[in-house]
Amino acid sequence: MRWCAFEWGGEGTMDRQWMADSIKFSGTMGWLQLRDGVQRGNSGWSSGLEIGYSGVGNSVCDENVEFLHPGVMLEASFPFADGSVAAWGRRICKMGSWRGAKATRVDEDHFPLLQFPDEIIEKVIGFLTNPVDRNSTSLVCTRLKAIEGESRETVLISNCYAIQPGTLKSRFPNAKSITIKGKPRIVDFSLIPHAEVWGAYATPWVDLLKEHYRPIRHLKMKRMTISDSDIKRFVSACGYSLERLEFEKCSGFSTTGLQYIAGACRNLVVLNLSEADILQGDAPYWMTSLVNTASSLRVLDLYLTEVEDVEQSVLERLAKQCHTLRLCDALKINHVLPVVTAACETVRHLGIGLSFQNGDSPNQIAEALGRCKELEGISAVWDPDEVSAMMLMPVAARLKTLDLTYALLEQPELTDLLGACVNLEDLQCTDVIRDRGLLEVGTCCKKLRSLVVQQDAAGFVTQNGLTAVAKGCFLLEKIIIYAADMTNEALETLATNCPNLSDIRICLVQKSWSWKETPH
Amino acid sequence: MHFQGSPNMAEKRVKLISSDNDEFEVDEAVAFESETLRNMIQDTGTNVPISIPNVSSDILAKVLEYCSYHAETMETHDDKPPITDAQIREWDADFVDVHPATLYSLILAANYLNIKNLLDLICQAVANNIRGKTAVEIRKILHIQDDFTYEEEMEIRRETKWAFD
Repeated sequence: MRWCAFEWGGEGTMDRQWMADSIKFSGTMGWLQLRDGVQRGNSGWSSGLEIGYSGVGNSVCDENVEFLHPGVMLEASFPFADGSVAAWGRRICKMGSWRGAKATRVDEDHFPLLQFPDEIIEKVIGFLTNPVDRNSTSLVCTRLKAIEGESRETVLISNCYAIQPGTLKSRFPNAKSITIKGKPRIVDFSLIPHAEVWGAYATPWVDLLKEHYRPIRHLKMKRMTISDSDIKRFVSACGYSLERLEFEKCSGFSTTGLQYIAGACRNLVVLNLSEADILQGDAPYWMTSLVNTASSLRVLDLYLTEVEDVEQSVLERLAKQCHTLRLCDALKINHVLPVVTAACETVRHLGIGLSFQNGDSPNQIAEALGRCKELEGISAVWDPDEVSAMMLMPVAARLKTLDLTYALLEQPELTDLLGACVNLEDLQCTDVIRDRGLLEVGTCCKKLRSLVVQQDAAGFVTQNGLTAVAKGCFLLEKIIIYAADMTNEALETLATNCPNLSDIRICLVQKSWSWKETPH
Repeated sequence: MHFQGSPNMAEKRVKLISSDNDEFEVDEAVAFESETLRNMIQDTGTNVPISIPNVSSDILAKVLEYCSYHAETMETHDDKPPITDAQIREWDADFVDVHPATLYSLILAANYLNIKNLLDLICQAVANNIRGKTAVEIRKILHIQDDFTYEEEMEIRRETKWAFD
């Protein structure tokens, strides 16, 4: 069997030899010219070609190639004398982008992907979900790059300074889920002098998104500066289609901007403002609007934000409809019990500040938590109190994620609590946990996949703690640990026992609390 | 004079003729796996043999093997346990474990005959071949020539490294 492959060649010509007898094109409108290099040399145009548009048989031998409408599908099939057929196709994505086709012969013992119409190549690429694979594919040749770019729906811009917004549009015009990262991570540690001049302004991106990315389902910005007017322009153009909106660690906007979101994003499922710096605006009751507008909301993340002034009834409504609700510390909840009770049916992850200046009894709250049948995650922003740890005991055994970074729990409550978390997969805490706590983790939390031990001036973690974890938690995939001391033996144990480990950060902390990062 | 239909719907047979003039006869349910054949049969009935001019007999045989297996998985028999999804996946994996040239012809046939599941299956198999490979390896596997200029390729690599990775 013989093959005929068609690739992109020079401007509007077919410049390679090919032996096909006829060619068929179909599309809704357009003109096409082909040059038959075999019979007539480079200057002649084949009259033996059949060219058709929309089923209308047509022969076009004009000098100019011009496609009047984007979206025109061109298909060519080449029946050979022995009955075999090769096919080729190309969707015209924009006017003037057609660059001509050339045909080459290909051996029969490999898979000639480029001979297929775009639809089929798109289908193949569609099965590649890992962005690493998509990136490799787009480096293969211009045609695969074009098809991959046009069909990619999820785009991550890991550094907003690296490209112009226009590059996003020209390469991934059909993205529906876009993540843009701004300032580098070390800004969080105040290690960059004058970090404010880094800007990472959302404005040029918002201008692009509102113009060219409608509909968009998901926008995430991280460590960027977003103004209220940015938010207003974005949600007034794209808000209707938006399902997930995330402004993680972003700043520059106020409750006024949040009010725009609450007003325009009727189909919002996820709103993530975690660790965002929210200014006081003129709309303190934006959450009331949000809960009234977005009945589809299922995830609200206000972790470590400064959101205040929320009515108790709004919190209860949110607790009733959200499966993930992380409220901030600043939110002084008058009555925790009704909120937890409202969450009983739906909530899977609950982050809620608990303090005991009100009349709710810890026992009742513990009972209510126990009644939350879907609950499998807790982010605790709690007072240092052994009562807090006690409240978690009834649900500890079914928790999969537990964030104790801001729980201010001390030994021995911490150790007791961890000993009960036998199904834990994701633990975040500070070095208050000490080696003793990590020993408990290694002994009891056999399903742990991710462990983060942040730095806190209060405690110490050393190689002993790491070794204990490595000897018990064989499923570990990620570990971030701030340790006061570390040995090669401990790292070796970790490497030997945890084959799935792919994300490691070990920071050495000195007692003076100046620290440096060890090489990865 | 042709009589449309047969007394027993379940035994309706369809005749198919490949590009090299071999005749195949299958149950209507098997042919119905193909959207194209379904439309043709609904148009012309089952008495007229349907010629499929761009699919050769060896490929048509493969396609019909796929269609009859999948038509069978839809049926329920009282005496036999139903075929599990795992069994179907295993059978499918075995089915696409063929020479690349065959795979190529199968895609063309599945596309023409509009058999969505078969097309998905093969495209997935092709994607599996690419997965985890670098651009250079993919070019090698698919015999694709690099048609970027040096500058173009450097620019894409730069973008990818700093922005899209």
